[in-house]
Amino acid sequence: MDQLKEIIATLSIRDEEKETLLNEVKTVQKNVIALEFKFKRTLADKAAITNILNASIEEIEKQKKIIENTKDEINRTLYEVDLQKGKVEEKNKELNKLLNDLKDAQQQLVMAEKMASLGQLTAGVAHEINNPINFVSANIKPLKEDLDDVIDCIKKYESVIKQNNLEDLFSEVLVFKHQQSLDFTMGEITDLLNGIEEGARRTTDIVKGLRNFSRLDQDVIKKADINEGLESTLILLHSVYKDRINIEKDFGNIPQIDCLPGQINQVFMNILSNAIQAIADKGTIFIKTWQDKESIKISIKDTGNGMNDETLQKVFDPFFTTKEVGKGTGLGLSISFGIIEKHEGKIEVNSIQGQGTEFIITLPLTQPGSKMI
Amino acid sequence: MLAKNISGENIGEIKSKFSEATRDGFSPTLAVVFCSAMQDRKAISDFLSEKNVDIFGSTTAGEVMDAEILEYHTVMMLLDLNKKYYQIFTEASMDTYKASNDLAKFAKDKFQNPSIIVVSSGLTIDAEQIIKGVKDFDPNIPLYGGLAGDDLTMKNSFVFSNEYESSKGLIALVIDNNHVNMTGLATSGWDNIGVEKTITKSEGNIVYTIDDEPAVDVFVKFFQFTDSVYNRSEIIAMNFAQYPLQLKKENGNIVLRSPLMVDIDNKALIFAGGIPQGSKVQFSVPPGFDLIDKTRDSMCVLKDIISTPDAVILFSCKARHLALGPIMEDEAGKIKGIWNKPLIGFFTYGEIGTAKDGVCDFHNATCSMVLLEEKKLTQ
Repeated sequence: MDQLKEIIATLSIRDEEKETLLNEVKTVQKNVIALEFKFKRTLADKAAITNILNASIEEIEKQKKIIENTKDEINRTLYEVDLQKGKVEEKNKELNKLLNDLKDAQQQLVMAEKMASLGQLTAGVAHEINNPINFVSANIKPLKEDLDDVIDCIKKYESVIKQNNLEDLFSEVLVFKHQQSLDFTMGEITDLLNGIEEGARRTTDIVKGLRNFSRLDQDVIKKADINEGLESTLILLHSVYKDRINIEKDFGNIPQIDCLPGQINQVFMNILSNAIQAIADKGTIFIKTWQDKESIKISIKDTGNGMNDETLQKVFDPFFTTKEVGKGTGLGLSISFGIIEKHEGKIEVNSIQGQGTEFIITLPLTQPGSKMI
Repeated sequence: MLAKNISGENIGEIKSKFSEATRDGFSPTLAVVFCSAMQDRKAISDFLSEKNVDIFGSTTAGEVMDAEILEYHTVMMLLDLNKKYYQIFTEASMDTYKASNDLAKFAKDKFQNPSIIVVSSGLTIDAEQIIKGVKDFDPNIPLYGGLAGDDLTMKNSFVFSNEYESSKGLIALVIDNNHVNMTGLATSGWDNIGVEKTITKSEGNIVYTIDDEPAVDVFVKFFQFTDSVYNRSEIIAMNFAQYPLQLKKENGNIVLRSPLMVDIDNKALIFAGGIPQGSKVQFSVPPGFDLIDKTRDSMCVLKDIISTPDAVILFSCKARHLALGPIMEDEAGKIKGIWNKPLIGFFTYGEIGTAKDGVCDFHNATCSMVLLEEKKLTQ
């Protein structure tokens, strides 16, 4: 600046002009300094901004990579979670099934215990009735023969009186005979004896049915006649359906099968009881048995109310019942299902509302002994 | 209230200009004195005490008087303000919070509606404690001010009054708002840039690591271009102060924090205000050179509050001076031009003021301005 002042001082211009020129130069110099500063600062800022932005880009790339890795990790974890979820669901299903099986088993145990007690009671009653009814059955025939002898004897007396014209002598006896209506009485005695004989026969059948039904063999596999089991069950239910329901039997020539007869009878009892209850007034129950290769089949079909789809879906669920509260446990068919399943068999149901229901039971001819307890 | 500005490079020049200013019978009661740490503060204090003038003084990192930017000078605003309308508070203490709390108590004891202009010395103090100390006592006291400078030597800054000087203490001018209107505004303009970073280790205003890297290394990586940062502390201020960290505080306020010094042993940076460990920060860069127009426009809103101030006091961050260089004079000129009233100020190591959001906070890289106007009798 001092140099400039000296140069300006040497110029051949007026002092005011020199002053103006000096001020202009000062302004220019100031502007140059400002511009120089701006330039330097701009360079510095540019470098700083470049550094920051480069570092930021690097950081963003790093973060992006971390995010991508994390995303991959999350996806892997999600996949693992899905797998585990599937396994857990599977396990859950298994546990639910186990729980249901356990419940069924528990109910079956309860029912088996009940049936065992009932069986013992029934067997006891059957045994106790069997002896006296045997007396009756055994004595009727000789009684009838004895009575025939007595009647023959009376008839001989009557014949002798008539042949020897002894009516006057026996008039008092003849009057008494007439008064007592002896001819009618003798006919009535025969009828009464026939009635006793029929009653004794039927009582014997019932006892046989009771004995058959209540077989104390639930834990032992035996050869059993299924047709016989059905007959026994029908006998026990006779009082419930007689006069109201016609039973149409079409029993095939089927072999005896390996089974727990007491439990199979229990199944027939449950299904037949339901069939009887499904028929409100009069109707028919069709029972058919037949052999199908290595199994036998039993169809029990009624002409009752039938079921709707919703009921049909739940018919084997434990505690499901359409009966009034207190009238049914809802366990009958559930237990039946369990029993048939235990026998490696199958139980199917078809129903049309308003027309009736059919249960078809399939049982194998033989059982692997180890599977039955 | 009349205000007159004088400046000088030495006590002789000051004395001469003081005489000139008072020749017309002007009788100042209060002097706002901002001077380089190299100036003879004792001589200045003695002279003004002799004239029965109260001193509100601070050392600087550069001085502003009207539209002029100075360095290594003394600038002085002389005010003939009624002594009943103001009080000078001083307290030398390492406990900044307590000193500030004492200041608020003092202000409320003296005036029903006080306002405070405060300056603190000490290069490593946590200036947030000043605001906390005052606001904890009474959140409604208006508060402006800054941190004293020391010509960027980063050795010792001072505040002083007639019989007081401290390198670790406060000085405050407490104004009676019932007689003197005071308002102000702090404005910055710095732009944030780059990805968010985490302060991974810090204590108060000392930052040890950023994203687990030593704080010094992080700044060197981005902003050190030529000189070795480990040799000259002023390099830190020169290079780094222009690139403050933008900090989002818990209360939602966004403030700037400039590094002032380096702790070589720990590779740590000492900032002008606290940066809590775990806080998220971003770098920021100086604005374009149109900043000065933006600053002027921001300040113009104060015209609605005080249209004809008697005096304007400016606390401008040294970082702004470094960023704007010779253009800083233009900013001062434009601010001065808003009211055309005496303006005095200095370049600080931190500013206290209320930003546009209405919250008083401690800032860096901002310009905090205070307007004073004595209430007229008719008011």
